[in-house]
Amino acid sequence: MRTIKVGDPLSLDDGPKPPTICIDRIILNDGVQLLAGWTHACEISSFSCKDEPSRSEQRQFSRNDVAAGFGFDESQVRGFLLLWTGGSPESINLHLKVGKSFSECSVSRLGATQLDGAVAKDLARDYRDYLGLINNYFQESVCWGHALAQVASQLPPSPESKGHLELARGVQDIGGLIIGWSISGSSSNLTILSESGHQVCLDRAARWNRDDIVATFSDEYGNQSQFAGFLTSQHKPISYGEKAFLVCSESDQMHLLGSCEWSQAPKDPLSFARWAFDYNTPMSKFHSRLNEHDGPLIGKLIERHRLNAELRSSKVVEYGEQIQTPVCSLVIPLYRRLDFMKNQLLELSDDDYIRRNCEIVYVLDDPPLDDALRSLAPILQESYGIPFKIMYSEINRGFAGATNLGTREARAPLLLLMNSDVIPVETGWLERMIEQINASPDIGAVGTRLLYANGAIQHDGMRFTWEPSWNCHLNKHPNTGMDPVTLNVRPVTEEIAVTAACVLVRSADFAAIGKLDDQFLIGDFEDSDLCLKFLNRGDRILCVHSNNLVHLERQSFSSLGSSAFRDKVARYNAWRHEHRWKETILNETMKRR
Amino acid sequence: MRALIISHAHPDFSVGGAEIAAYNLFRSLQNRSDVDSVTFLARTDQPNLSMGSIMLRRENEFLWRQDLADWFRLSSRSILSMQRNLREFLGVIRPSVVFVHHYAHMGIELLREIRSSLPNAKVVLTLHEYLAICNRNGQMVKNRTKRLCYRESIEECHACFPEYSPEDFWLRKHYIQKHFEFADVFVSPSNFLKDRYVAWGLPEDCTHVIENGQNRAAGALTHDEPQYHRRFGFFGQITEYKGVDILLQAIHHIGKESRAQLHFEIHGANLDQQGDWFKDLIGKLRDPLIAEGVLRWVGPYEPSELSRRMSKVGWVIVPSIWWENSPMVIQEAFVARKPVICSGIGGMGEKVQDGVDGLHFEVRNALDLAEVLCRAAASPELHRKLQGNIRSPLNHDQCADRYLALVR
Repeated sequence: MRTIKVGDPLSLDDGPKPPTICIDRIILNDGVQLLAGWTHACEISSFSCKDEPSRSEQRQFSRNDVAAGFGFDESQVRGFLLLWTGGSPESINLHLKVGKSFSECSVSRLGATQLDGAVAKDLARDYRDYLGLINNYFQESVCWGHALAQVASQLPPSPESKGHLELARGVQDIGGLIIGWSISGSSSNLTILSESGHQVCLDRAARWNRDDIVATFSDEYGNQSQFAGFLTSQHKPISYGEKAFLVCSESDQMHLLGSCEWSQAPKDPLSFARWAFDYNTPMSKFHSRLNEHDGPLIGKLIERHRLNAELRSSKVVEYGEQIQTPVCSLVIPLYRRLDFMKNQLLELSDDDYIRRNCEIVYVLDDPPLDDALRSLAPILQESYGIPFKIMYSEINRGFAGATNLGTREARAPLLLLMNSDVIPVETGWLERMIEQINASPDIGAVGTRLLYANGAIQHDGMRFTWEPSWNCHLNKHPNTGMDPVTLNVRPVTEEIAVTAACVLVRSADFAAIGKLDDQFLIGDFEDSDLCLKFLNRGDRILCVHSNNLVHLERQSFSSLGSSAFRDKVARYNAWRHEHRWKETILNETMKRR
Repeated sequence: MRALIISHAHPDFSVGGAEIAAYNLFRSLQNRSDVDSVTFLARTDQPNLSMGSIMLRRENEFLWRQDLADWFRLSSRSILSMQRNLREFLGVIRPSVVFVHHYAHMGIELLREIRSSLPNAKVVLTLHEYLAICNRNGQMVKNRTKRLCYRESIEECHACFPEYSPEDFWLRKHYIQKHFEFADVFVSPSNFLKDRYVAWGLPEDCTHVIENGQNRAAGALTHDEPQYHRRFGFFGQITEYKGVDILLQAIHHIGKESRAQLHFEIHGANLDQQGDWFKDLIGKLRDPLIAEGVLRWVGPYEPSELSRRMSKVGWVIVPSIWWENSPMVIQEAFVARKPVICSGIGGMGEKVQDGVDGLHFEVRNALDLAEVLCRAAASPELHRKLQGNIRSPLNHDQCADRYLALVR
């Protein structure tokens, strides 16, 4: 068998105008092969290589330049483009049809090039009519994408599809969201191509209906004009000002539908979410939208925000003479309201056990209240006569971050994590919880019954329930609203989870499991996350029902704005929680059947 | 025994019932040989005093410059002064008993400071209104509808004040109740008020009823003219809550002919401080009656003039539209031996017994009041009988006796 080398035409016989095959280029990219060249008086019927390719395509077209150059009859000369994936680049054999007979030649790998910037640029220049086809194979290549972007603005509009890129907005090293609308036929392949070379295929986009698009285009496109709006994402770095193109490939060709420039999105995760969640894609698909698009972006922003928070300083001020060897540290974050402190301190200072054995660590998680609290704190200490510490955090960290910060200052072997709006109304509650945790080393956390202000049960242990419309497990509080006096529950029960609004843990255990997860948006699920971490390592969770503390619950939540946004924040958190804990929740729930 | 009496105002500057009661207790205790020292501390808003400072007024009487920062929580504006000025003052006076006649304008934290400075002293708190229970001026009247309120709960209070959540009301009640725990004994001038506070959460066994003491009557002024059963008087502030408009409407209902025989007098001040709608209403109701000659609009009076003015009528009318506690005007009427016609609710309904020492009418019901007025004017025998049943209120010394009995 004869071997053909790149750039070296191979004549199949000795005649004056022999059947000839020439390979112009062999381009390799990460499991994709492109073979381009021309034939004269023969054609490639098939090819084979060492492993069977999973997908391959061949195109043929005229090469009048070759005919002219070699003096061949134009009708006899065919250019070819061969693309395939899978199948190794080794031992490629071309099966040629020459008149009525067949011939074979093997392709030498010498001269094969990896797809790089220069190669891609030439390819894009030389195969203008086949950009769509080539893109189907080289989509993953950033240099190919970059080369394509260079010619994108010159691409013709599409006869079949319509579209518009409204904006592309993101954060440099993380990526961002792309918003627009498009109408296309089923055979069109829409992609968003960035100047950097990254491509995002629109088939994974979240879609929503645009009444304005329907109004404009339904005459021409009928039902296809519905759900024209799209939201998709790029999870690769971007540059502000970098161009993005909405392109579509239809029968081998590439068309330009629209373009815009990447702009800066808010880096603060909550602001980002507020902007992103404003795009009202159907709620029934919110879970998959989070999976594909906003979820990972927001997650990375939160992570970075938290890492930055770690670096920010905080100051501790002690008020009054602190207890030297406390048994338990109460860690209480403060946010938005300081008036709860008075009610709490009125009770704590009235509790002999707490006075003698506990230290109180407040964490001010609300920098605008810094001045006010610094003036108020000494007065409170004088008034109630119970010592406490305050950590003044330079930035807002959220409930979990603030609690974790507070535990750094806690000296006792036991930690009582407490919300500022949990007010004890009798003594003995903490002793009952401590008694339980000390009873056995495999008890990871002890929670407590909490009541609403009107006396009904607010928390009595937690369960997980499956919420089909959210595709997640949610935390539920059974017995909420019930009468604590008549409800028949044993004084202490084992639970799958308890609320972190008032929970007792060992300091060492708390550190070992990584403290509270502070990467939920704003805050939520930290309690079930904490409990699942304990359950995962074989610990048990208890709840004390003979306690009565009042939990004024979520007084600060109403400042978040519209309930539609709050709802989406909740869904984000549920999605994130489910990602990590689905298996454990199912196992633990099963064990308790 | 060393006694301290704390009042939210000094009668030298303000003539409300609570401060008068507090000052009278002070004067009575001064005369007793078994009390070693008595001091009177009254809150003032005199601008020449610096906030928080305590200043001598005359021997054994001091003024304290204080304000509330937060009427919702009854919280002091200057807690620092509680901790400094008040503590110093208590350290100097060293009372063994503290009679607190109010916390308004001063702050409920007062009670905690007294307890922490004087762990062994007895603290007696007298409640003069429902301020701790009700955010609406302590009246227990619904905020927007002005209907009577029979029961507090965090949800119902939130309905009156939507700007405060039920949780805010829980915090308010908790804060106030925790501070009340620093008192040993509670005194109420009426059973009605006591019942309200016990329902709210005060321990019944620590809550006692002691009427406010009154001055003895000047004997010569209790004579009666024969026609006095046709002469009626109102004495008090001219406000919507005192029911003056109800009284005027009732007079109109009596009908021109019948009322020609009757004589009404309205004594009091502060109409000019009421809302325009009320001033207009009163004007429309009273002017024709004045022109007719059946009504005399007498105007304000000094406390010392009260008995002489009351002596000129046969009946005293107390038509308040809210519960009241122990209206001083009823006790003053009894001192002057005048039967009382009043709304049959709350403290009024308790202090005046229907058909015994006075007559009740249905609260806010001008027609009913008109009938009662006609009945009252119809027969001198009824007037005499009711007058005969009037018991003298406690005098100041008797009142002081009862207070002392609580702390012995």
